[in-house]
Amino acid sequence: MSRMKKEEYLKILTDQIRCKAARAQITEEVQGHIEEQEALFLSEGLEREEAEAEAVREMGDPVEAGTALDLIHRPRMAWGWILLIAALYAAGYAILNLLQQNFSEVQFVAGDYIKWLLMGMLVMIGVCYADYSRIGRWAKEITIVGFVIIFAGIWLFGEQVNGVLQWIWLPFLPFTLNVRLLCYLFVPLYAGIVYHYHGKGYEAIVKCFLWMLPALCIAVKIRSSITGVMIFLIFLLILSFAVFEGWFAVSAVKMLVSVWGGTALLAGIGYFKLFIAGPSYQFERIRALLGNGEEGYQVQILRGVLDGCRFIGSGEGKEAVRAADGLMEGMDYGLMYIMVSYGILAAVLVIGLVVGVFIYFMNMSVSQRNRLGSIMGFGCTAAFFVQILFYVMVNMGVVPLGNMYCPFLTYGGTGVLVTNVLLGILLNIYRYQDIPLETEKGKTFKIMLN
Amino acid sequence: MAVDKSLVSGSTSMMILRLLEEKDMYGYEMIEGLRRKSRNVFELKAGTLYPLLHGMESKGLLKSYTVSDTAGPSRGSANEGIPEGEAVSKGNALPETGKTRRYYRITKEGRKALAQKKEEWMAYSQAVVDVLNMGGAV
Repeated sequence: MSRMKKEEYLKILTDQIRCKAARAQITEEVQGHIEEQEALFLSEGLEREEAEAEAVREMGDPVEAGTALDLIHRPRMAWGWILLIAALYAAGYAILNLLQQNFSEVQFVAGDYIKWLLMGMLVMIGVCYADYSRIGRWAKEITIVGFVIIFAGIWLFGEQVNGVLQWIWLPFLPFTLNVRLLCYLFVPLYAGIVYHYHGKGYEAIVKCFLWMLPALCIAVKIRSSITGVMIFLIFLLILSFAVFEGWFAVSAVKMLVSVWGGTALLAGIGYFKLFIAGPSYQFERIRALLGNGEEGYQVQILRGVLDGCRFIGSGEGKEAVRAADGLMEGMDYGLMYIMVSYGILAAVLVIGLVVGVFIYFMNMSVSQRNRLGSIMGFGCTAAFFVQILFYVMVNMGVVPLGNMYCPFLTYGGTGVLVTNVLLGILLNIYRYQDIPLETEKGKTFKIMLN
Repeated sequence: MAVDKSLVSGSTSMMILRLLEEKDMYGYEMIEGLRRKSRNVFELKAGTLYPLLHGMESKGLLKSYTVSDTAGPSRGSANEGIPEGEAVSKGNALPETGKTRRYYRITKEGRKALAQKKEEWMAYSQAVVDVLNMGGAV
């Protein structure tokens, strides 16, 4: 019987593994093992060729080992999650339609939503099949290209709605895109950029802050300060995650205190300059936002409506919201309408379900063995959590910002597309989470009695 | 008590988890450790070990990381927080040889699984001993 060389052994072993992405790491690990064994035999006085052959023989059958590893190293399609996401969209659509029947004077949903949902599902599955590591690898370039495209889109095809330039009308396609929501596409890209700087020091942190600018500039361009605040918050969470995990050669505690303390300080200064030391109309405005001035009537109505809600079933709030005569759009206040129609418990269950799905994705993301997958997954889920948080706050009358998007619960084409791109990235991370690892199937070992 | 049917095949993973409870190890070191601790009774082939290790990592019982020198990692929790799949340099105190080894560390779930497997094994082995040592007629 001819002596097998280690290259031959490794080739036979890796030939059994269908997923090419997993081969390099396995080769490195197994090759290291053979070389270690070979070195031992050499030290025991064997000739090099003989030592190598003996070391390879000690490894066992390469086909058997490779087949076992192949069962472990394969991408998994999250069909269960895709079905659940489709079910959540269907449930959201059903709820919006139910509300539409109850409150015909308010717009909750339109017939074309089905078209958007179908398109969204295709986008999600498409992104799921892509390789997220490529998105991460080219994050800077894609950010710049995306920034230029969106800016050019606003410049050339920007459409004003209610006096605000937040929509891009696409001339060859029968739809318009909401730029506020398009900004969230920068989230996974930003996570990819932060990943690129891992292992570096304070200079890298400064660069990470600079890379926040493209998305924030778009928020400024469309004059949506709340989009800017939300995006900044998500970026800050991503950066904090990386610092907390010790990816940068900086003091994590000092850095986190500085970043969040600095942000709070800047927010305080901004608040003071705008509303305390600023012009009197700004002060009036903040009073109005807090519900004490004349302009706060919307918030006051909302709070009145919420006061009339019951724990289960509809209460006086339903009449109060009818009396408001379509003041609060169903697209932005869906949760509030669920509360007045079906009770607080129903609203808590609905939002709890959505949050639960994203908690799963958050857990899956942060436990990733791959850093890029971990930070991109964290970023995408952080974006969803921030969206849900602001949506709930608006619906509870905590902040009167209006116009908030909530995944699965808000009607909107751009929202579905952007949400599904982010969901597709999460599913993509799930798909490759076991590359190169997966469940081992019933292997046994040999007991040799000497 | 109910004993897992895969008790015998699962005992390999139990022994590996036990080895890793002591300190982080790489594959070759585990085979040597198992041979030494079992007084040359258990000889585990590398072709069996690696699928087992990767499978356990997939289940969250282990976490792996690479170390780019010959000194090996520090014991116990010194490597807590090291993202898996990432190379870790041992710093300037030790000479760099360029050799990279993949170390495995037991996780909290791994410790729980080990405790459960140990309990099952103890019950099983005690039952076997009891049967073998029984006296008189059945």
